Amino acid sequence: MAQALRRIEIDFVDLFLWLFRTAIIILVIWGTVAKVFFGVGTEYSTAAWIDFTIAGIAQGSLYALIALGYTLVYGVLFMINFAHGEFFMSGTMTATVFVAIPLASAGYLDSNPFMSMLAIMLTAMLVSVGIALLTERVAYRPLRRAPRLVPLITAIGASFFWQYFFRGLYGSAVVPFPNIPIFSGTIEIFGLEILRTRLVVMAASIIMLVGLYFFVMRSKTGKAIRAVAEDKDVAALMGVNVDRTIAITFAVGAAMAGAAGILYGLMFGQTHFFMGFVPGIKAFTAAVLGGIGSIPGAALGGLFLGVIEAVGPPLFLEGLGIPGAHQLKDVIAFTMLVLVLIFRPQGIIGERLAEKKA
Amino acid sequence: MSQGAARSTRLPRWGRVALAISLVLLALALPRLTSSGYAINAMITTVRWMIFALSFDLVAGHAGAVSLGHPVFFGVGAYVAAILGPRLGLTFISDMLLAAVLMALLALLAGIAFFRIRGVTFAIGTLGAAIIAQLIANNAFTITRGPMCIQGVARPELTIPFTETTLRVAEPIQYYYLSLPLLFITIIIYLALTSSRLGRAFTAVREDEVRAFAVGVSPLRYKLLALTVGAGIVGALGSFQAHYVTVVCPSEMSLALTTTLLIIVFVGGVGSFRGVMIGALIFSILPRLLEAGGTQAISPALQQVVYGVILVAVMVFMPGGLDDLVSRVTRRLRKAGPREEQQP
Repeated sequence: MAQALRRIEIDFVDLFLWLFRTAIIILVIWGTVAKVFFGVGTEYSTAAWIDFTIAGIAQGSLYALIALGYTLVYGVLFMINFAHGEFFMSGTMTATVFVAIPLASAGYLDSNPFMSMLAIMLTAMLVSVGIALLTERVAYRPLRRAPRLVPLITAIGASFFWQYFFRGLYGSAVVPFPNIPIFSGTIEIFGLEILRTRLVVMAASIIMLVGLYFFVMRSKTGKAIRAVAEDKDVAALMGVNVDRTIAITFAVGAAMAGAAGILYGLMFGQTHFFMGFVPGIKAFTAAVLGGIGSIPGAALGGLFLGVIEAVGPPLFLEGLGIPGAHQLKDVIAFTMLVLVLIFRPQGIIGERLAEKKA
Repeated sequence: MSQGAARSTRLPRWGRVALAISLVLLALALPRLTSSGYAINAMITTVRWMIFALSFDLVAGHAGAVSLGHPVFFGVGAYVAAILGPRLGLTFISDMLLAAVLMALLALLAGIAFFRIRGVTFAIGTLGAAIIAQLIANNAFTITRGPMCIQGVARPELTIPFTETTLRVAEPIQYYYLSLPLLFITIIIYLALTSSRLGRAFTAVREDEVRAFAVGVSPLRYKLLALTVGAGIVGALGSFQAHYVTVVCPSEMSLALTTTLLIIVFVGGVGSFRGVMIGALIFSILPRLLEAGGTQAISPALQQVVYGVILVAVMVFMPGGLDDLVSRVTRRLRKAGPREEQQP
């Protein structure tokens, strides 16, 4: 009797989930068909669609850079570093306030854009790394043997702390990121008009992603990171300094986030104390989409999310006749997060997420 | 987690009954001691956070699922009162019941889907859902009026049984007495669900789902129970809130509420009735004290920074929270005495 009941319960759950999934697939297909074949909503030219896609790729490469931090840390510690978005924000705001704006007002940013961009980026990366190391040491390291819920709560606490700490430092207003003439305007490639900032963002992201991949796969430190991810105790027996390696993992992820923050500033022209929150969760989505723990996965997941988020609203949201579709791109991103966590926690290509080493 | 410690410092039965009765009397008498509307508003806030935190602790502390989407049920409950209530011509009480039932149903459906997400990622999945809910509330102008808020929710009108008189509730003190029954019902439900056999089943699910399943406790069923009940309570609270402030905004489900809940529950002592109540008391009174004491000296941003530090520090140094601290103090005080029950 009890067994029969349990079977019914499971069947009901499966049925419900199946209905849920089917409903969403039907909505997306319906919207797309309505848009493509019946022209519901605004009509866009081919150039506009290409523009949406390129915007999505540029945005997605930023998500990929931030997602690296989640992926590396999850690979090593099986924890979600909720404060990662704040690492991203802290470096960016500090570099903007203390380096970018003074350089811009001194005119050095116009006369020597590449050197000053390098200085801004290095500052952002250093600050992010510093914040990350401090957070790891104070809020995460003492809890390495605690139940996994506990570091999650301290991570939320740390995120909250840094957000309001930097709000206290720089105020709650938007701090504009200075405009760099050489990176503004458009450039023509293969007959396509592309915004220069987007091109810079994509190029810089590719360089950093490839660099990081080789760092983790080829260098000795990278080997140590992979060893610790595989098994901390055995790695320690092999002479790997586990604490140091974990700290390095945090530092590498934070450096990528700091660099991504400056690219974000370049692309959107502004920084804000709350800027880390939404991109942080979206980057986590990207990491899960690509299979958390995998570096190529983070890159693919980021691009995928960026493009869906940019093309989705004009395509199937407008097709469904939803008003103000362009303001709802966040809804698409977070729906992706929920769906991938419920239906495909192993991501598109990667490792299984949940309870891997419970 | 702190269950064992709490048990070992328990008062004898008559002591607990006496304590409960005196606390209830205190709660009833408190607004009579002051005439300031500010103080009574603070009391209503405290009661509200107690209900909110207890319902959250049912899910987070007992079912072990830290749902960052808990305020969604509060906000949607408030919207139910503001949108559905007037259209259906409901009174205050039936409005609250409707919100409770609808939120429990919503929680049941959401729970079936979201409890598929295991471990710590459950938190981030529910956070995603909470952000979606808030974005929808902000953008669905035709229904919620977005950030313009729905204004002019009717104040409660109560018909007193066996008489013809209706009582129009408008004064803070009346609202306070209206909120107390909700608190008492919440406390009774909380204690009923977390003690005896049910409570042990929850503990089993929280500590190890696989083993709980192996001894015949279905984790999904118990988690759904906690979530459904918690959402029902908080839906009713949302409805109360709508009738109290008479304005419903998308910010009723904002993430700031989630953070406060986390602080109350985890600083107070997760999974402990006493801890959650103490936490709710402290974190409803503290901000007002900071405001009143320093006027301009302590900015809100600094206050949030302090909250962040408190949360991290408590989790690192005192994972049992304030409840654990209270237990330790009382144990030390009693060390000489013969009462030292051991928890099996």
